[in-house]
Amino acid sequence: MTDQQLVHEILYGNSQKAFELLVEKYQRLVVMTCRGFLSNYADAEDLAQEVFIEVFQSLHRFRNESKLSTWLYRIAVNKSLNFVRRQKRRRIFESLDRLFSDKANGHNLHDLQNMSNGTPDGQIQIAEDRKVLKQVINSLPDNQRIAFILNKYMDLTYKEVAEVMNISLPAVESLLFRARTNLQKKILGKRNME
Amino acid sequence: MDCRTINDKISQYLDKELDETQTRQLEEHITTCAHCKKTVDAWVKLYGVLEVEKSEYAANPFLTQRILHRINAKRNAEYPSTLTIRRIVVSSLAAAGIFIGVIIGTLFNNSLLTSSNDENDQPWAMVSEEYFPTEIFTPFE
Ligand SMILES: [Zn+2]
Repeated sequence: MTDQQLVHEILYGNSQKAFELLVEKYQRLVVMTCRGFLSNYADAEDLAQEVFIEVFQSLHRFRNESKLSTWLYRIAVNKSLNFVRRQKRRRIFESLDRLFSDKANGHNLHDLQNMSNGTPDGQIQIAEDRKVLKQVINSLPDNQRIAFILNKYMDLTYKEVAEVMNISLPAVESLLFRARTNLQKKILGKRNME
Repeated sequence: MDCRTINDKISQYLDKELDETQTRQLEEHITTCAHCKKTVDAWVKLYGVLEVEKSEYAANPFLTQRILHRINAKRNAEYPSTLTIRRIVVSSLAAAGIFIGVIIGTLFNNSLLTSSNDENDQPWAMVSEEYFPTEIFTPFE
């Protein structure tokens, strides 16, 4: 079944089967887009459920002029950003000091700087690297983060990123360039700038 | 190329966006410069971490049922009759038509704003919130 047929079946055939097919087909896209923004897999899966519920409830508003996947990306990105913002607000109340002090950040970034040194306790180090990397990606401005995650995490082409974000191709290029510059600065920053 | 120039081009190099000449220059440079080599290695590692995370996806066979369950629970709790739901869908369709008109206008304005204003990274997020506001996205609540 094409996406168009699926949507038609769900809307006018009242078909649960069609909705199930849609979820199966796009489960990876939605879960992993959320995962790109969130710090753990379980949250991403929970949020993916919310994304699909929203898809179901607003499918009548979907216009076939954009691709279904483009629309799903938008909802997933939007829900993820909202989730992260809520989480951030909560964390601010919980431990303003620990999370936002320069000392803590400096320490973590230092860890990432040393990523290339390699350490014997592999698994722990990978988990730690990943946590730091997520923090750094999450510290990018929204637009840069969205472009980076769609391109590097979901492997979308620049053109596809442009469609999802509803911006021009040069705008995507510029966002990705700035995202990389920022990441490099944050990760390797001072050491390599001399 | 000096270290600073190389440094600016590393991520493009890894994305295979550099032309042949630049690629060769960069590769030559990192064979002799430990400093830049280290930066390249760190980027490789960074992308590697992303790849590890990407590979962890596993389809959840229960996801669909959970979603359907939640949709039905919501429905039954608030709208016992499907006829009511149909009516709401129809009326929200009409409202959505008007709404989308407004949004397309806003979106267009804001996307212009986004691409023209380098430092302001908020507009897209705001657009997305307007584009998918929670209230109209959950018409059954
Ligand atoms: Zn160098």
